[in-house]
Amino acid sequence: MTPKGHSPVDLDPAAPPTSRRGLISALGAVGLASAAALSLARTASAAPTSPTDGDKELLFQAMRLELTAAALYDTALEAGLSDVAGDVATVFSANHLAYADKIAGIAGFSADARNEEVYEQLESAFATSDAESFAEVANGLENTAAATHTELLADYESVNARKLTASILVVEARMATVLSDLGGLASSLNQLFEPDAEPLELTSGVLS
Amino acid sequence: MIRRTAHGTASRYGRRDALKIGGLTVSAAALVAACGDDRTGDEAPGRVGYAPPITDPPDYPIDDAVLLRTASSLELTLALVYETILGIDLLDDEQVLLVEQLLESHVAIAAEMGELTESIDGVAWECTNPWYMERLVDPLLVAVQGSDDPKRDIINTAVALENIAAATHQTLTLDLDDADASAATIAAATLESRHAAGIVAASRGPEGYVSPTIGGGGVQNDAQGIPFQFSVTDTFGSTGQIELVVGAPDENGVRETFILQTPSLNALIYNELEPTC
Repeated sequence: MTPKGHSPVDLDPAAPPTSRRGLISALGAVGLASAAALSLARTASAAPTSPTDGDKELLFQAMRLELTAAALYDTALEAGLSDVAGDVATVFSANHLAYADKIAGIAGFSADARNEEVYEQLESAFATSDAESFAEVANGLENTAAATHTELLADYESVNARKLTASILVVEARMATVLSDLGGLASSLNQLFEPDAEPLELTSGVLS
Repeated sequence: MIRRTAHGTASRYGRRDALKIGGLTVSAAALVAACGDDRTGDEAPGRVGYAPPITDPPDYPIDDAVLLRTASSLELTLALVYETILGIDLLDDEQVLLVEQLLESHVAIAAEMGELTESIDGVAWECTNPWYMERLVDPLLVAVQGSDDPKRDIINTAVALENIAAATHQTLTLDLDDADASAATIAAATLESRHAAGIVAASRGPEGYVSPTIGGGGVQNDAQGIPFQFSVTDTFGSTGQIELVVGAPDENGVRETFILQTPSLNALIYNELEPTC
């Protein structure tokens, strides 16, 4: 693969937690039990169609992340984000809500619980009407979400969970690219196409 | 009905009636023959006209090596298209840098797929995909080079190819049993999704960020009637077919439409296939 450039989102935990970069960095620390603990060896040919109990644990966390992302975009809109950035935020919020609904649909639970910890950490950064600031924090969120789903994909056992997750994460990568262009964030093509992003360690919360 | 002949004698049946009766007789005979117990011969559906004979896809086993070889072939096909595009010498400096980056990226992915093929005791495929080359790429490049606006067609072609490559890897990641191979293909799908989005963003700016179809709007065309490209085309990553309109209009104002699809049985690089390069 081509070498990776410097990411517009610094995931170095040494960054101050009050900065936008630090907030994104802090996402990596929001975790409790590692999702990998729930993983099982996957055999595509023998995979179950519907999500297993292990899948549902992970899907629940994925759904909460998606609801959080939708709420964060809404926060930016409420703060007065407008024009192109406002249009982008409107569509991306709806996309994340659709992801949450779909995840909840295949797993059989209600899409009504966001990840408050992540939301609180990013809320102030998203509460902006400045397009460039919005683009930077939202780009970090999308890259982190795509990386998180990528990691979860390897842990899912069922066909439906894997199929849905793959279809979500590729669009989140596209949304990150749009936000990078909107904010003029990438200083090189490598940085645009292969940004550094760490997955969240999601909590193994209680199913609703 | 009674028809009268030139000699003034009456006849119960005319020429039309004879044709009708003849047709009915032949149809009834065919029906009786088809229902008979002793029917023999070819059981394939009948064909009309001079269409070329159908080539059945080979009945070879499909394993992870086949899927990875197919992935390599697709990546090298894209690399060849980008090499050709660079040779046309129409792009500005910034676009050349972008295409060079895309070329390098696809060559690297092809090499990675090759290594993964060998890691599961397969033979790496180091050629383009013959099926795609013959049926898609060769005629597509001819159309682009004969276009009234080759630069527009080059951009649209690049976006379409990145989209179909991303969709292919998105599909392969679910089909592969090998965990490393599955991880590599979803990484490729992500990268190529970013490629497609980045090309559109660079060429169209904010107008090309999000397809209006996501919000329930209709497909938008440019002044020449060619569909606009968008960075974010769907809410969920689509693996469906992609239509690409390129080339100069014919005398009726119609341009060529190419249908891009993810590889199926006829485009797989089976282990039994000999290299074509």
